[in-house]
Amino acid sequence: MRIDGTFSFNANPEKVWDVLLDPEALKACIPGCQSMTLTGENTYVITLTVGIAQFKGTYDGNVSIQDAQRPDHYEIHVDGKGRPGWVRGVGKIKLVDGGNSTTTVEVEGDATIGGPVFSIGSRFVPPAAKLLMGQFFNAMKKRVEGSAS
Amino acid sequence: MHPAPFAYKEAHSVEEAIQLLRSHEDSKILAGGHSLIPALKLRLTQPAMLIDISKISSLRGIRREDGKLIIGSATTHREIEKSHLVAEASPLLASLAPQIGDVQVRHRGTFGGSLAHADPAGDWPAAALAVDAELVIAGAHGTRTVHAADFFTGMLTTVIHPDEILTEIRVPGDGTPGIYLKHRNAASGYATVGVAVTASHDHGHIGTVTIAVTGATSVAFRASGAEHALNGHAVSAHLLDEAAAHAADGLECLSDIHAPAAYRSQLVKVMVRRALGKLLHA
Repeated sequence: MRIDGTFSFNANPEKVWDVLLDPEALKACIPGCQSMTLTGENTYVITLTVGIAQFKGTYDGNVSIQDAQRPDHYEIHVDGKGRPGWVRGVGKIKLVDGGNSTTTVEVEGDATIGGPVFSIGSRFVPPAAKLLMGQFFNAMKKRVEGSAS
Repeated sequence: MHPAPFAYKEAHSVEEAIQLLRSHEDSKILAGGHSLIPALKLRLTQPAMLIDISKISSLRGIRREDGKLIIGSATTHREIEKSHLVAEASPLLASLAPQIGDVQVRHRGTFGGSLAHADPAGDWPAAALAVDAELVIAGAHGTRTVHAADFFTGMLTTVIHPDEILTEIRVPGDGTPGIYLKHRNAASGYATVGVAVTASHDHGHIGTVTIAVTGATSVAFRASGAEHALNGHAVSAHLLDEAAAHAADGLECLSDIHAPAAYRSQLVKVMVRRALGKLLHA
């Protein structure tokens, strides 16, 4: 399953980078994030409660940030499971300097899902993932641009 | 699989059902159960209580009032399929009802349940949009009426609040010609793409066309670009070709193992063209 998106920020890439990878900001902006604990360098254990309408589920997973090259790109590796199913995926995130204190963040994600969610809900997952990604970056945008002023 | 434990209450009036919803946290309305029960069994949803509204007689039935067809939300698909009144007053609804699931599903599943569930592949959302249905929603402080265009807010979500109930649906009862065509998922019967079209036309001239599409995207939508290309024009095969060719412009289609996005997008065009052709004889 591919999940792609492009998000624009009114701040320079360094500033966007620092907020995108700030554990506090992540915790605040990841939709449904219940807890997020640093377990090693750039590695977290995370608990999420996410879903659409009444179809909500709690997932436990490991998240690690790899290949981080400030302020250009990083990869986020996710491996999680919950009652509704499991997910494994990699997101490649690129920060493109647009000049004049603007940055475009390009996300290329590839994920595999399984379990009950997949057996009846596979068609729901990509739009749900897209919706949650949009919520995440909107929250990040507010944080980045709020603290810039 | 077995669902997680839940409490069950039968409501005997809309007021009682709303009262129960308000006084029990994490409660959920059960009507026909044909979307909810499978989700419960897979434990994709685990409400603490189900409030059964299928025995509330005021929520069932079909009548005509002031030229409008008024359908109770707990009316089954089968009741709509078999109704002479619907056949006469709303050919689109009559065309759609027999295409839902199978006969067992149609005997239990409800009109309002399908709309409130807002499944991206549900059939009724397309019809509701095409006829610009008015949806009556009851809450603790009375009722409000919402047009179909404002009712669906996204995948599986509508403007109904957790303590409200969809009670009835009003659609035009003027007999405007309409048709629903769908490409069925072979296993589930859900719409891979479903197209609802209504059209008034006179001596080869189109008056107003409405086209609504379900299954293709995360929420059903009106293909307003294609509608505008048709309204007020003389019917011709070429005109219908042109309108249908643009029916999928700018769509972000769903993708799953049954139908990738590009396939759904192509189906939208093909199904819109077929539905227009059947209805306008071109």
